[in-house]
Amino acid sequence: MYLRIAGLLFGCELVAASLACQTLHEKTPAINVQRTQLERQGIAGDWPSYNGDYTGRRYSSLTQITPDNVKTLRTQWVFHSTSPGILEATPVVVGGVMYLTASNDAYALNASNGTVLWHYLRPISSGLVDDASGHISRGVALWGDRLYMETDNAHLLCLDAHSGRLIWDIAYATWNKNYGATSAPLAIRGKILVGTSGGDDGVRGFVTAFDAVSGKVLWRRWTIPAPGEFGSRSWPGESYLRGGGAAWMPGTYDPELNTLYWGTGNAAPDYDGSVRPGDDLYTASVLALDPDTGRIKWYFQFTPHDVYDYDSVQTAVLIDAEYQGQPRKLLIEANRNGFLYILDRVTGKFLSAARFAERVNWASGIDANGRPIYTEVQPSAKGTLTCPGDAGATNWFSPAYNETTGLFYFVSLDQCTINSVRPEAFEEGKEYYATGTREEPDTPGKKYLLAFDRNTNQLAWKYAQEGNTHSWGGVMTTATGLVFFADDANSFEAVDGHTGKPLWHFNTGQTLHASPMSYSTGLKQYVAIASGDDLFAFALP
Amino acid sequence: MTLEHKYQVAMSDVDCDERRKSRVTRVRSRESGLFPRSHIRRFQHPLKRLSNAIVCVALALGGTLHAQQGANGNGTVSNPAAALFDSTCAVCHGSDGRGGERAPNIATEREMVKLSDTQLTTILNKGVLASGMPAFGFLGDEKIKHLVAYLRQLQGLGGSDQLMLPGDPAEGEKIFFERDSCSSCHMVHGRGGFLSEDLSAYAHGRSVPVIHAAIFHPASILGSAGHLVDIHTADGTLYRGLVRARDNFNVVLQGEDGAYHSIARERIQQMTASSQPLMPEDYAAKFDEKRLNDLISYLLQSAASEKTDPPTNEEEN
Repeated sequence: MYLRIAGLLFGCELVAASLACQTLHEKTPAINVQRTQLERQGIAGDWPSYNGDYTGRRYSSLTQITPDNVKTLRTQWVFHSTSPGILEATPVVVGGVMYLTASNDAYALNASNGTVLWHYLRPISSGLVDDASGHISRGVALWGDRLYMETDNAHLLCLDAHSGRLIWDIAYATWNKNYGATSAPLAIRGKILVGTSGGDDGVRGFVTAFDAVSGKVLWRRWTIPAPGEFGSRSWPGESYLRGGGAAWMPGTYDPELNTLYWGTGNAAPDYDGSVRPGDDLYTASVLALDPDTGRIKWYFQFTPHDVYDYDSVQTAVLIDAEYQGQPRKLLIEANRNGFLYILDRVTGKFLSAARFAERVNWASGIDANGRPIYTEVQPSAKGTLTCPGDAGATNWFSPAYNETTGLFYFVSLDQCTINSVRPEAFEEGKEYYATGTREEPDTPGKKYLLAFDRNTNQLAWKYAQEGNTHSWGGVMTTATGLVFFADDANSFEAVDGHTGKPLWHFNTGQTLHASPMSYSTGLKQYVAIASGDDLFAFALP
Repeated sequence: MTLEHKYQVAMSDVDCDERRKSRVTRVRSRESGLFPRSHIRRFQHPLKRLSNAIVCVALALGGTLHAQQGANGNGTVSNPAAALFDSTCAVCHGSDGRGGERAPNIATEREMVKLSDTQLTTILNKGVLASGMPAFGFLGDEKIKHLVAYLRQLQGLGGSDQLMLPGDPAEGEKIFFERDSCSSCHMVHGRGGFLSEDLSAYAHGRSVPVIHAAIFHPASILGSAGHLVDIHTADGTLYRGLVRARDNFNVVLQGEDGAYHSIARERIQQMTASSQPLMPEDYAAKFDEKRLNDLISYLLQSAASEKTDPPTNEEEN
């Protein structure tokens, strides 16, 4: 707030302070994220939620940075985190303030120069298992003047976005200590939606909706059915309590259809399918949920009876486009299992699948109903070469869709692993893979930036990456046809979205484990991405 | 929630120790010379620093001073357990239990805080001879029980039923949120304003006299941090708010609506801090002893409840 006229100044110190300040909360707060902003497509200056908008396209309408001038892009500022975990968050930006999480900490930064405006400090938790013990937090959700984040031990925190003060703290998965959380929450229509990590550790996955103001639980949608429910035949005895299907990334949302699209993780135990016969609903699936009740409108299971660790939490990207001559509401997902799927998102009907991974040996293809045609490849006591490997042909890092180029961009990994099985009993406090994987000897993996053309159902271009396959970086795209992505050798790059030709790069000096975004403040377009312990913001000179 | 899980907000909390540290920082920033000297003076007058230092020393002297003030009828809290602590423990451990020259911090040191009531009672009864802690068994069980309870209060621990409160916390809550509108600037457990410090855990490890002093003499605690600042820029814009960040190139003010404004120093024509702190300075005149005790009790109880685990939404799975 600034005021040009002295008479309008707020004067807590001029009048009796307590009286003057009493009116503070009746005024419109500076940060006030509303439904209209979150539901808008073609986001511009602000980047108000994890994927920018609810469609998951990671598409920015900003046009200042173009293929012609991108070569002059330079670092504007760097933020360094001292939290224990590396940064995997996508920051959100509203009104020139950037919100970022690092482990259990949250920061508000001046988006034009990186100055820390506030820092909510919360120590990491001890005694966590597997992914949660990495203390990863992928970001925040905003609703009104409040900020929401998940902690490593699966608490949902509500902070005052103006100051970082804690408003409430709710532990939402306390009955099995193998639960954790790594995701950014999703805010829609006064609700905050969260899931958990722990799908490799014998938890029962769920998505829960909280009232954004009170923190009251509105519904919980288990991703593993209880005895007697549809799909429960896969879960004899108490196995449903540790069947996995963790919902560990934010979903996407279609306001018009009032439908959430939420991905679920692998079945547990990962490699021992003998204790969970059948398809293992609703693991390795996308669930179309009614956000008011949590009811499943439809589901699509990418990898029934998953014994390969093929979580399906990759972003389900929502696109309205012509498909085979008909305007359709589509859902596109490049899946960890090596195939790219197109579904009708109104009905869940399978439309097509295309193999994008170089080597796929667990399935010979996808049938007309969208079901994999399995091969004999299964984890074995000695170990079985399985392609894609346990890291998947792609993973949680963001894909992007650009309606100007009509192409869908994502990073893939060509890598196989040798997967072994050894039955084991669930034990709280321990992972529940039922053995594990090792690298394929003498065959290093390779990463690619891929551009998929939904009209031809083929790749438009493919950009092979040098590197050690250790990067976990995502993609975003802009209205000028640029594609920004994290490469596999520490650099953040911009390529021409039509051709894949590299136009600019910057060596961050660290492995990238995050997805990029773009915003503007002070009439300047920025592109930002976290790398290692740092967040870099770039703009034209 | 354990002590490790206690959250903090970086731009919070100023006590005497921190005041000493922050003074050093301010002197250094003045040496940078990028800010006109006259404005610095207005921002933090050296005499004011001196007076702050005096108050800090006075606070460090602790209970004795306040007991004298109490005798003068200045509205000080009377609490028998506090008096017993002051006469028995404070000489070595400090009136707030945070340690003195001869004995360690027993209010916030984790190794101390995590001791059970039984362990504390044993230490009081038998002493810790190797470290010079005398045995106080002669006080009798009743008084030792009171001392343990009071120490828990200093630690901000224990359920509110174990707290020795000088007044009625329910009344204090009304004072905080309604009658005196502390909540227009301060937050407790998610309710209230963002301009000033979150007081949910403020009373943790703070004794009644220290809280009392903070309410009645806020200038001594807040220093310049609690003053509104006006920044006039060359183009005639006036910004008013609290300084949330500053470096050699920018000053960041947060206005009453919560908006942050980063103002480049080269744009700043004049920067002045209000002479009065945002926190009212007239509580000493307005508050009678009961009102003060009720408010302090609310803060103590709030800090104690901060120690409990957060609510869960557990259900049968």
